[in-house]
Amino acid sequence: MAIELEKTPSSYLPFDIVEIILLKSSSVKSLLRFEKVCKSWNTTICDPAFIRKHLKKSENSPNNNNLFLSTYKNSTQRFSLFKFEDSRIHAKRIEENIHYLRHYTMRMQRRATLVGISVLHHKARVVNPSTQNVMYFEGPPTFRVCELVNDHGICFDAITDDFKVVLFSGMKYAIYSCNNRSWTRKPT
Amino acid sequence: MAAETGTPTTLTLKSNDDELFSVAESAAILSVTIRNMVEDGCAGGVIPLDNVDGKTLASVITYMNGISAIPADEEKKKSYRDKFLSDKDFETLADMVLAANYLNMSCLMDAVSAKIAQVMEKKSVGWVRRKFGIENDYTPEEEAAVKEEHKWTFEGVETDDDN
Repeated sequence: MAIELEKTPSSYLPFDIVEIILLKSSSVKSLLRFEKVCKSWNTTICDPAFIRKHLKKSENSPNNNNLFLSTYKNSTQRFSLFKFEDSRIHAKRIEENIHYLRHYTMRMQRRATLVGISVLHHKARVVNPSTQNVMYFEGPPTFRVCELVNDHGICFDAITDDFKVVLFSGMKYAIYSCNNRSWTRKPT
Repeated sequence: MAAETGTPTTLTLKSNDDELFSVAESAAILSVTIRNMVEDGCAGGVIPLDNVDGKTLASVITYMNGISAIPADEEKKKSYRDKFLSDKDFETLADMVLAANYLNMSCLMDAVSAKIAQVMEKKSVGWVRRKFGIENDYTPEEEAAVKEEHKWTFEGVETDDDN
């Protein structure tokens, strides 16, 4: 029986080229899977500098948008994410990610740009559909429990490398910094 | 001299397995490495490219000629690049990314590395280890822990003997 020899390139790729290739990956899912390849790949992929570079590249990609908004349905306590693009909200739900939430840790990685938020009973959670990571936090202390959150949104602040959540209630708004894990309340 | 007579200047490139290739200077200078040699006046005779084999160099020259024949139209250039890379297997792409890096051709480098990333997208960890010549340096416990952390990322992976 003939043994089929596996073809290999003339030489294996040096690590600096591997890093260039990994940065080109549009799939965060693949990147997270490749953390298992070996320790040095894991170190690279988890490196905050790599994550920042990857984020920067995906911002330039036409497939990505750096703002997601979500609404939640009171009746089911489920929420959907909506794509925000060219100043218009596209009602394209990416709800299929949501069922993962229960199973994943409350760790949030600033990777890729797809992030959603839901506000339920004064508790909020930020979800990163690219990594399936979810982070929970309490609502702004200055909002009374009975106050209705009229609207909310999330954005990435490239200057401080931070995701920020904005909640509106009546004439007030509050900003949550995911890096500092704290609220800033703003008057009208 | 050639410029005076109006005929395009031709360069001769030599691969590391001693194959010779003629290529129009206007196409060859897509490579910054070659352009620097031309500007420094050391492109008179044969230009040896010690890090590129004949098969890969032939492919790179096809690309140089193809892309430089397209007028400044980024859309058309992109679709040429996509088509040019569409039928290349991983080994060819790996050789090309090394050549593009050595020749300092950023447009080819970008396109090939993106293509490799795309090829890898649905591949298993085992496939990646084989193709990149990587030895698994995790202990079984560590490996299980890393896999557990991102379990969902192992869904929808192409079947392979080692996921």
